[in-house]
Amino acid sequence: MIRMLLGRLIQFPLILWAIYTITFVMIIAVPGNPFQAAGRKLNPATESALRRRYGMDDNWRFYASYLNRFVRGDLGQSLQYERWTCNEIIGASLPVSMAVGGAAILIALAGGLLLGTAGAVYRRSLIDYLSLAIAVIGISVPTFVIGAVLLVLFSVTWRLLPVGTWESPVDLLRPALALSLVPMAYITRLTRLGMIEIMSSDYIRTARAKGLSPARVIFRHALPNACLPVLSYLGPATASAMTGSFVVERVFNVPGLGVHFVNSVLNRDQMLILATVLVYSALIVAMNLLVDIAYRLLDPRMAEAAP
Amino acid sequence: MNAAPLPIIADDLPPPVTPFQRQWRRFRKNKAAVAALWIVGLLIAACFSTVPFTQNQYAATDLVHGRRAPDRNAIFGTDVLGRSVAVRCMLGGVISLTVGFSAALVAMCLGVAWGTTAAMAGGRIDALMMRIVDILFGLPYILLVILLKVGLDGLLHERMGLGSQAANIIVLLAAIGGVSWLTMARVIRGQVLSLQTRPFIEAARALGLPQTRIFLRHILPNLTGPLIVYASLTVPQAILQESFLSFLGIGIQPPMPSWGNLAAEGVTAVNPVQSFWWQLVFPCTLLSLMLLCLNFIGDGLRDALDPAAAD
Repeated sequence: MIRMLLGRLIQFPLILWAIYTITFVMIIAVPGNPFQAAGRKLNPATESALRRRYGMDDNWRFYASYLNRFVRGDLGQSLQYERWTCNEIIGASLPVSMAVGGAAILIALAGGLLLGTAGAVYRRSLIDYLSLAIAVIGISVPTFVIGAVLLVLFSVTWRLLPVGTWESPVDLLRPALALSLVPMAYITRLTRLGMIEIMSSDYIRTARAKGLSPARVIFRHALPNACLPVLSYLGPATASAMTGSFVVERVFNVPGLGVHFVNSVLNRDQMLILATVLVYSALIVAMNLLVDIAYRLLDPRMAEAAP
Repeated sequence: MNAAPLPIIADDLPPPVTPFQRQWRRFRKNKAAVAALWIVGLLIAACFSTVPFTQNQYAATDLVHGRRAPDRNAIFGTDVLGRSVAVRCMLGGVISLTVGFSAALVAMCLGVAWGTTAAMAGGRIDALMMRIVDILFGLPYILLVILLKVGLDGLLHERMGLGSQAANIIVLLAAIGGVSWLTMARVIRGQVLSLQTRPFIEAARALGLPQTRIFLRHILPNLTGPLIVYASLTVPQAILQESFLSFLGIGIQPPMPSWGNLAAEGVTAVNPVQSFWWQLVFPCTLLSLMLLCLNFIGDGLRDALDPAAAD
């Protein structure tokens, strides 16, 4: 366990460096740059002066200097929002996205585990078909449509919540709900599949035979083993939910990171692209590491199998 | 020994069943998948057969009759410019399906090439190629799509002088295909690795067959099962991604319709003050119905071609 942790911690910066390099190459290779944004024509002298000011006149120097700055925790200056540093932009928007994404994952986890388990235990019942319906809607209806439907339902039909505000914690609910449907679909399916397989295994029969209550058999003996596949799905899902979804953020007017992420790419705001990608990747790698640790805690056989 | 005719023992046996027939029978048992296949077939026929009419009509504006609810003249209603939503939905279907299927094809080719190369090369090259896939998995796909699209746009439109609409569609499907091959590469690599330990491949190698022949004649045919299954699950993903890109405004460019940008337009047409619901409901229903059916077909194919993986 300790060896695995150490190994992964050493890999962490290497993976980030690889991702930094790939992203860097891509933003250099793609035509267009932040100094030629729409509606602004700079003369060459001004452009080269600007490039020098941001240390971008030479690609190699830019590569090295940004890497150096990143290691010290400085994500650089946004080129599009001139008064903001990337640290400020991410500092302001990441917590919002993390709150929405965290809530979404919690909803998805609670709903998915419950529906999946119920579907597996009461097979071919109403609740099984409900779990199937959730899974189907989650994978086949685009998020922006779900978002729009929720918006109309909550604000127009039921008149419960105002439209497009971001003031009280209740405003978290709708984007979180919209964002939770896709992970809920996957978690439901994975749980149901896992539970069906586990419930027919010998040790569950033994647990039943020795007279344990059905609830104890299901929640104490079966579910922890059945949700191992859910766990490995959860890592990347949490990371991507927490870094914000552009679509959901736009539909519900959420001041999160997803909007900056897409806008930075569209504006070729090279500093902000690098900053957001690195934050996102760091989150993904960290989540995967957490998932691996949890996996080993839940299934000790893993610790012996792999280094 | 007299050469008596061999006794015919197979007289009352049913005719032999080819693997394909067996798979088709298994597929047909899955009612949902068969129904989905019919619906997809009908939708494709409806969209593609009306192209001669819709390709002239999709941008025909009629400002007097803008935003009319569905009635006898316009069965799906009209949008803000008075264009028929029904016509736009049909042509949008053609474009969405074309992009979806072609992107899945691109993803399939890339995934198979990458996966088999890694598995057959083995060793360090394999490890390196799969690490690259891992790292690309870690990158946010939306960044990859947008950068690919922007990069290819410049290449095709400005350098090669293709028409802007055609270039846009080609770029779009290349970009979506270019990010969807990662899962495919992993699956194919796993499959090739497991095939290579099987006795018949060993036998082929012992017979001294060249590597290319082993690959083409013995490994590739055995990949069709997982290949078809994953390709059929990639198509709905690709259609969904096209709709997201259209929602962001970098997908199919108006006035050209696609289910994605029609739905995105519909989202803006439904607001608390006035709701022009038909602009959202019809494209969304078609899009969701298609995705739903394609997912059902994919599941059905998986159960039919790969019974071991079925639940």
